[in-house]
Amino acid sequence: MSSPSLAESAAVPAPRGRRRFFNGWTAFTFVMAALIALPILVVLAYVFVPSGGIWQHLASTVLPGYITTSLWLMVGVGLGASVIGVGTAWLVTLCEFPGRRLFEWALLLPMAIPAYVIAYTYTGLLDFAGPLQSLLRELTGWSHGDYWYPDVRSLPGAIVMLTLVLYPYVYLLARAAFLEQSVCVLEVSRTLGCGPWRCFSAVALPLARPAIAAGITLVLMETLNDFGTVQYFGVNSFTAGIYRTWMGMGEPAAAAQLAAVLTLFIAGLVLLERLTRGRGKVHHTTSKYRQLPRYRLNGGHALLALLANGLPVLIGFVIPAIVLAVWAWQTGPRIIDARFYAEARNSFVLASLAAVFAVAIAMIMAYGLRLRRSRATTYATRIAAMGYGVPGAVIAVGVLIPLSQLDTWINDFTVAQWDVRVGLILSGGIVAVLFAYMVRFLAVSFNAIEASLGKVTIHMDDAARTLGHKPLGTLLRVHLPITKGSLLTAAILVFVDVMKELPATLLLRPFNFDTLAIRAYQLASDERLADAAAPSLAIVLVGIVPVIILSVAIAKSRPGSEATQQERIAEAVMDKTAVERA
Amino acid sequence: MSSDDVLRLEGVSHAFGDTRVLDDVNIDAKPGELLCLLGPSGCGKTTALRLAAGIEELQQGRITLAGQTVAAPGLHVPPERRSVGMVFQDYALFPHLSVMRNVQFGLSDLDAAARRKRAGEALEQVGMSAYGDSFPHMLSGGQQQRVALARALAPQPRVLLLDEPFSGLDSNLRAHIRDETLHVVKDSGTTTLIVTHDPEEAMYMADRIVVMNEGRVEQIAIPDKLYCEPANAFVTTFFSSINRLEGRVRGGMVATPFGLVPAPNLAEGARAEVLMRPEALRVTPLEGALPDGAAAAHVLDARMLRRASFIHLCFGAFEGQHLHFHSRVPGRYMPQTGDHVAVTLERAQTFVFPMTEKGA
Repeated sequence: MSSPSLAESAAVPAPRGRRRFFNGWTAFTFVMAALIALPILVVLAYVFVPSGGIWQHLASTVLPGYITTSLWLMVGVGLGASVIGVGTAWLVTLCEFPGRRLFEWALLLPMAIPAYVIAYTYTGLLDFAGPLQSLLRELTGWSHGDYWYPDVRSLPGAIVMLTLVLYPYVYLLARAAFLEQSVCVLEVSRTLGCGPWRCFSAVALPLARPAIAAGITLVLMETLNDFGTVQYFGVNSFTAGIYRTWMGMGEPAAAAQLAAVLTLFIAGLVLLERLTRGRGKVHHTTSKYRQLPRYRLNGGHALLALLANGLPVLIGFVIPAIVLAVWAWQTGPRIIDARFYAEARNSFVLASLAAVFAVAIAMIMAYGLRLRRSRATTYATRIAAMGYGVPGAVIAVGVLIPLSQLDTWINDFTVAQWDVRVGLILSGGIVAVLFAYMVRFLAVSFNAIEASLGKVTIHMDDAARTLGHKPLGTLLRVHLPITKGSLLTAAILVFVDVMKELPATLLLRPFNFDTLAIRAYQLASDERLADAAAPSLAIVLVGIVPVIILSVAIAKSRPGSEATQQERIAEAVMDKTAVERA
Repeated sequence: MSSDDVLRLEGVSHAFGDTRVLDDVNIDAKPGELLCLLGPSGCGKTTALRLAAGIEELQQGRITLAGQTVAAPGLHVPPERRSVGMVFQDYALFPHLSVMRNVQFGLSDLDAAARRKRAGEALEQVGMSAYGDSFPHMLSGGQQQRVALARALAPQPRVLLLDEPFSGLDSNLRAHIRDETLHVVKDSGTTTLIVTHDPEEAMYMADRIVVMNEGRVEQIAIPDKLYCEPANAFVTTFFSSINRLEGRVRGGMVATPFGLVPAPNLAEGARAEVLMRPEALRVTPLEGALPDGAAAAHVLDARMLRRASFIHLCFGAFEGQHLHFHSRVPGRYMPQTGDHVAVTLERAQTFVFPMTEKGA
């Protein structure tokens, strides 16, 4: 049966042109964005699903507690991280003291340590049975209850732990902001007679405010995302509550509703950040970068600066790293066995797969956006990048609900068709974990890749096309070779993020499929803190890689040297929320 | 338009959002012809070029290449299947490829040996044979421009498109590269479309010039004709600074201080503008009585500009208009400020057009 219109069009010796109104690239971008957005939308949809008594029960009992605890966490960590982050950034960019160049990158080191690892470490170090209190008792002859000692496993303890590993976000963004403004305004204010203190409070701080606000927003999102620390410390924040409601009480719907409330909370946070930013970025009047004269600190001042910069590095990295190393040395021979290697391999496989997928999907989406930038594709990619702001526990809930439904359908179908039950092929397998990683970390690779595509001008695309290459050929021959360094960076960043990830992995991993992070979590839960050191140390060592990448970017972006691509990528990565470009 | 046109744009209109950038544009290029699209920035000339290349998708009209329709509503042959060579304003050389590989980029249909041979010939054509192994960032602006030209010519395209190819070069180098490019393009025999905003560049290079303004084609003609027989006030003023006078048509003539100027094809009583090029005003020292057809003026200032003298003249009031005209006199002629002079008008460089709404 042939339709006349088809026959007609075939008769025309038509040139092989076609309308590219909706091509494969755009379609891919849309489908991917929709997939990535699905879990978040599922969770949000649960706001409207009545779950009867459970929700009433939660709302009247634990919910107020979750909210106040999470708020206190945010206030504490936000304040701590901004004071340390802004202070150290100011000191290393505008003052000169012994060790300044070392601190420029060393201040980033705590980023390498996941919050739960630092929490386990300090608990082991400071707890009743830990070396410090034991020594104290030995020296004084006191016994239990004779002396007051701060409890690490408490809300203030959690605040300190999270502050120690999260302040680098504020440091990084504040430092970049101070560097940017240094030449154009600070010199002028100096010639106008501003002392260092007035320079800071009247000029530098207001100008850097948007960057600092963005840094604090990132810190608060990470705070809300944290699961390992609060769970271990018994601090009842939202994420701990979601986990308990789901795993402990077996109420996924109620967990989803908690997750929805948390997601709305984060949306409010992002909105607030954008409001405080006012009418966008502060515009700098000149783009000249030059070595700027720093305040030379001597004697007591230099010592104070050294202390202010040294303490965060010492407490946030050096001490925990040494403790971990010692414990790993002691317990390693016992812990590092076939099972450990299997876990390491699982971690590596998951992280590698996630990195490859994240980079490939992000590259295709970014390229699709480039081929045809419309309002729809822009929004689609923006939604896809939203996942980074959403805690892993929430994403886990949002991934599991649709996937188990899909599994049910698939099984119904196969049973009806062939009388075969295939089992939980999606929700019970590695697919679910990888899906959750994509939702959460796609923004990392996407932002890095979009920034690096800036190296390829649109005219280069056009030139390749007029020279006879199709879009795919152009991508392979022009974009990939030019951006390959940045693609590798993006892959490494996703790899490391996945290595460190705990809540989503914990909730979604296949049965008996453990990773290093899971092992550290389980050993710590069994109060075998010294035994947890080996997997923890492995995670920290991998976590140092992005710190090195950022350090290199920082070294290259010193005033006087031109702002490099690496710096822009680092910025893009830090700009994980993508609010900057909204 | 004849059927052997290599490139033809028929009734092409284009809009970005609510902004109309091309309005019923018709352009045709004959085999081997060098055509310049000339106009101020924002006149749509680059859009026309991008439509011809297929980088921009056509909205309305039709584009044919060597008689084959490549773009029409519902039809879009992508750039990679159009066989067009393009040179971009920023050259857009691929930074990760050597000069040789850049030039070979468009030759993937050939085998390796043939590709190398053809690329070598193209580099030879532009005098860059010695730089095959260099990378783009090692080259000067002029050298990059030559490589871009070689890369565009290497696949032997049906049409060569150049988008403001000299605007990135400083003015001394520009004249040199312009001349070089002209000869390379002409020797290759490729039909060429050059977009430029520089009238001198267009006059220097083009076989024919397409003058564009606000998305419309104002006039298509050979350079000489454009200068001497401009179709309207816009074309007239675009090629040089101009002396302008308003008047009304009476008996087929418009009155000027230099006597009556014929206003053919204008309605009786219509408002008209008289446009006089600076070189049309002949200045002589005023001795004794004013000659017939001359106007008296005094000199405000005189300057040497390149090889001509540029004289500011004040004519006092004429029919309610205060007239301040400029005259360009070849060679050195430097009257003193305040000198009284006699000025006559050469009719060949004087044009009368109906008053446009904008001019009023």
